[in-house]
Amino acid sequence: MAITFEQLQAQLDEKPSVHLEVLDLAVTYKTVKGSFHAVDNISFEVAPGSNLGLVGESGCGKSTVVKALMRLTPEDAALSGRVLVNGADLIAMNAEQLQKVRWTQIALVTQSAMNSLDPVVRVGDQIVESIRAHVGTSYATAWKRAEALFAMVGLPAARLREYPHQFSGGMRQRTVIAMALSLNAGLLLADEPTTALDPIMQDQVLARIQALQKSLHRSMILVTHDIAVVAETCEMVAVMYAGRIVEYGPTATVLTKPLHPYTMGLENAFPRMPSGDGVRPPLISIRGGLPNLLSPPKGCRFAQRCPFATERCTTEDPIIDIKASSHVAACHYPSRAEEFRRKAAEAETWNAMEGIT
Amino acid sequence: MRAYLISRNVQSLFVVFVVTSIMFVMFRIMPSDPTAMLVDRGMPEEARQALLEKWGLTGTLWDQYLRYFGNLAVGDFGESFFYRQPVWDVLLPLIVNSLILAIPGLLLGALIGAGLGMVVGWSKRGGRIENIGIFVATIARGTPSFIVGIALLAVFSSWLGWFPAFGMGDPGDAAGSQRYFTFEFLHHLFLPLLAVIIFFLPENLLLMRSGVVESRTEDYIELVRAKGVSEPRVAWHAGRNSLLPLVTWLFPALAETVAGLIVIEIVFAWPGVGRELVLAVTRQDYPLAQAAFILMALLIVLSNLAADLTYTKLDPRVAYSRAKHG
Repeated sequence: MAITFEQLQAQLDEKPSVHLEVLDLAVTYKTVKGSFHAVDNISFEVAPGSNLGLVGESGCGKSTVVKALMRLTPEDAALSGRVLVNGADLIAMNAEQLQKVRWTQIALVTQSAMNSLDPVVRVGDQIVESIRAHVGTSYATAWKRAEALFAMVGLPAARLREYPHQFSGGMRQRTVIAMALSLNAGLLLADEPTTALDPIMQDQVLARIQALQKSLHRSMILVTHDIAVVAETCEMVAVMYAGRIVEYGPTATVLTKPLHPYTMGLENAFPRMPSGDGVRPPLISIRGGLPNLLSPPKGCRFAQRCPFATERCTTEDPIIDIKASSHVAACHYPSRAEEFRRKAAEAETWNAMEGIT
Repeated sequence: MRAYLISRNVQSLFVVFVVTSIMFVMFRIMPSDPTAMLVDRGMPEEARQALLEKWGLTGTLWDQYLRYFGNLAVGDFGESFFYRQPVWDVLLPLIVNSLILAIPGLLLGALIGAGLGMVVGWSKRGGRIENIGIFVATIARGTPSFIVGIALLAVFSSWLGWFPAFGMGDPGDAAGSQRYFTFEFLHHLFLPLLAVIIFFLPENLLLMRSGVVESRTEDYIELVRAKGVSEPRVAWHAGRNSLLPLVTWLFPALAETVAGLIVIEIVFAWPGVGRELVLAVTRQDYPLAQAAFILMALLIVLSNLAADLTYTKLDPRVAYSRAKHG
């Protein structure tokens, strides 16, 4: 029995947000040269209705985490660990169960909206497809829902009949957002939703996402390398480095009192507002690059680039236990964080890293 | 769009005109005398002149050329030297015979080829389906159509004796279009039809496969899968996008296919235009050969036109850029 538009809307409005728990998630690619650990035993949690920021430099595994959370990784990638969506383990699901969870519980706002829409199918039909794959409703009803979604993201309903190439980059990104909201999924994965846009458009799209989040109360994971965006949007933040989470905690604490030298370095690399005396803190880059994950270093993965690294750091792998405290870091010296932060603010500390360019 | 259609049609007409003209001249500069066949040596001069006049072989080349086009304009292809009948009367049933073999053959070849290409392209990379599919398709594609034809005849006709070896069968009691609906006709049609399908299928399969392999890793396929639609539906998106290169290739390929079809008609002694064309050339039957060539030129030009128009329909981006740039 096909349901009516009002029934559909009411049904979707009642949907609770998702509680996501990720335990020891690992994504491993088998290559001829050995196993490549793109994501290495990470754990985190997203409380219902809250936002988690996932930050880190390019290639640290952020997007792979997002793909793994929807089981969209390529066939040759091995997944292990547990992804609990309201307690149900996504990793253990068969294809049919997985298909039912996708988009009804977890929806995705992709990174490259330019290529994320099928070029030969009308935009409206692509949204309708996502609805009718899960809800027994007529085409007309699903189309009405698509019109409502377009209104939510500020696009005229008439343009649903157009093709993606007739849209600008910003409009496509908004279309992808509208599509992600089509079934009011309890968890939104936003994978660098603004990277492909110009700064003005970035701001508009972010404001749109934030406004929608306020009214819809969905759980969200926002992947970005922009710390400012995380500061504005997310209650919790996880900092990733070389396939691992190196620091995890409430955004305000992590940003003001970081425990991990990498987080300190990351903050230095972003332009900040001048402090009280009117002096703008200098931009400092972290020298060096990500370690080769085919043969990861024995100790801490950041040790090579860390200005505070000791003997212990190159031999012993620091463990991060998210259950231990609300704010945790994968560093052997959380007690020296105060001292690190003071030194990390000075460019000389980072520039003194000899032998790394 | 309308302006585009008109200009495209004018272009096509011009191409046919040029081809026809070249054909006309080519036949007349061939180092042989067709009148030798028409006109007896011992004939009195007046009778010979009268005959030449009747066949339109008098006057300068230019006069003949003008007369030829004048007649073409009113749909008169002249009279066959060999059959002593209007060319059109000779060709018409042959056209029907050719189309009845070619259209189902090409359609089935394209459909089955695209379908199999979809399956092979969507199968596991490096898996058994992919390896076998590519191997068989490549071999079939490399085999000339006369070898395929002869092999089919050897197995199914000579050895197993399941199908007749040549021709279209005896119409028997069935007259006119009725003859195409007899079991005997279908029995005769089967092997040549199979040859056309085998001839046309592999290229479709390989093109479709490479299209699907390319599009299955596109970002939009990932998003479609993320939406939780069924896997066949995901494959549909990949297939739909892979059809574009296939269609651009398909219609120009139809034109190239003509050569292959002629060979198949000859191998199976199928009374079609292609076989008649070859016979007409060897008999120096100008009017018939020229008419057959004009038909093929038309076919080729029309398939190119159809390719352009279908492409516009399949890919909205093409229509858009045309509307934009005129």
